[in-house]
Amino acid sequence: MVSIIKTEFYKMKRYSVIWIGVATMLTVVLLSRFMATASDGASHTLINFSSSVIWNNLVLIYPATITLIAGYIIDRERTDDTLKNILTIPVSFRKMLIGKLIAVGCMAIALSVIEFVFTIMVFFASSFPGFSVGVAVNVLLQMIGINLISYIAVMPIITFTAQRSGSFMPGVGFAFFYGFVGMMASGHGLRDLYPITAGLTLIGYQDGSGDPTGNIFLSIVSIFFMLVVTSILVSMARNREAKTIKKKKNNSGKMIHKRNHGAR
Amino acid sequence: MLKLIQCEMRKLKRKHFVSFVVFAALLFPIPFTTLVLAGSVGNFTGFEAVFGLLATMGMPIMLPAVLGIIAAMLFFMERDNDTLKNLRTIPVSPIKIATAKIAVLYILGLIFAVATMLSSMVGGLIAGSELTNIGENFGIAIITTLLYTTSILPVVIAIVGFNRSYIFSVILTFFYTMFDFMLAYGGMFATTDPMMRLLTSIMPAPIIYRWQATQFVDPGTPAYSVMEPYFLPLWLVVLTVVIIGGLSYLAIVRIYSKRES
Repeated sequence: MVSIIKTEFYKMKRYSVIWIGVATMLTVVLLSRFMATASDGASHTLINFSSSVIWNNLVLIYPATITLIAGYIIDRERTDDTLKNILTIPVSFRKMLIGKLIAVGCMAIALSVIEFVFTIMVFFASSFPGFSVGVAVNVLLQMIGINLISYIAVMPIITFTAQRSGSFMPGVGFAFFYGFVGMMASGHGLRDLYPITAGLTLIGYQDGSGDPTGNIFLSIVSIFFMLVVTSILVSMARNREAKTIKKKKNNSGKMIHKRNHGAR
Repeated sequence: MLKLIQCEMRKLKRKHFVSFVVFAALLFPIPFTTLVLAGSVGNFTGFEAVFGLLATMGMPIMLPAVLGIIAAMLFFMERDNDTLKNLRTIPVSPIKIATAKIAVLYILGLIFAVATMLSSMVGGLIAGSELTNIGENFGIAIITTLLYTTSILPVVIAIVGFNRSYIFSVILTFFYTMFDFMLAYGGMFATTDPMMRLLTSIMPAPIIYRWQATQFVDPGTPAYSVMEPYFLPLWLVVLTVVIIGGLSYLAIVRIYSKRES
């Protein structure tokens, strides 16, 4: 298992999709900075600014980005036609999937650190008041925590779409919607029940307005539920393309179409 | 031209995208109906509330995001399958191909509007209200859709111009959608920042919302008095969006014609 995860990191190094993750984080921080300009009058301490970054990241772009990255590196095995080699080693599809999920989890942490670095850079560049090392460490932990938990919340989407080639794009669209609804769920007292926003309670997120004390028990239950769903999906996971390709061998015309479709 | 549009639709059919559009249009009504059932949407109730939420919150998010993905598929299809050379030798001018692809975006947008309308009617029925003002609301849905479809054209310039991967295009679309949306709903009515004021008078989502507010915000409420100075008449919004769309269209056609020629 360890070597599978290791190989995933080797592969990740080559993928440009990592830079998209980095660009996403930068854009989110800049967007938050822009919104801070828009809502002038309020003071922007490190806590306020980082809260705004965490919130924007969570409901706007992060669920879609992480689904995209995970979906891309899984689908890459198909487009590069290396899945057959992996399956004949033999590494089961399930094991590969688990390896990739763990690797993307590590990447979620890396992205959080990058998000934190950008936040601090923009924070100092705009010379906002209220920096202290203790708060900064707390912010870093919050970012790692919320990104990991919302990654767990989208894991079922990733595992579900991973099993069919090319289906991860609709999954990304859904994750985008899924994250966005978090904004409304959070505004109507469902913050702990809605998986995307459940982590906010666990990390002790303070948005200043609503009631900061959520129900920790409920949020743990909802995150745990997502983990259970993911593990059920993973335990049933297999490469569902195998059958259709076999069928398509009888029909060479369609097979060619399929190849081209996959080669994009 | 009609034939070209037909061809594009057929190509899309292979990717099951019409069903994807309808599915996307049906996503937002679910949480919105729940919200209305929970009874927390200002002065509106039932169908009007579901539709209002969909037109002002659901469509601005979902429609550009979906259409951006579809635009990427449409414009990359010829590159991926290497069929642009065949089309050019028929000969079909690249201007026509690009126009047909954009026309398909509009058709899908209209399908989205119809799906939104139907789903909000179902949502309204579930919330237990009568369906009132269907004609007027349908008109609003269609105008909103056309405006938002036009608003995605600047992104299409970038998609065609950079001609990169799907991932890049999707992320770009999401960012544009988000930025646009946040401008409309992130303190537009309170800001005094000149930069922000300028942007909210040019970017599509804020100005469309400034028109929609005239339809959906009741006179006499506190929100109305805050928003009233910002209201825009429909013709001004259409004019701005059409200018943005027209310039984008010219740019798209120009970039697309230069490809492989």
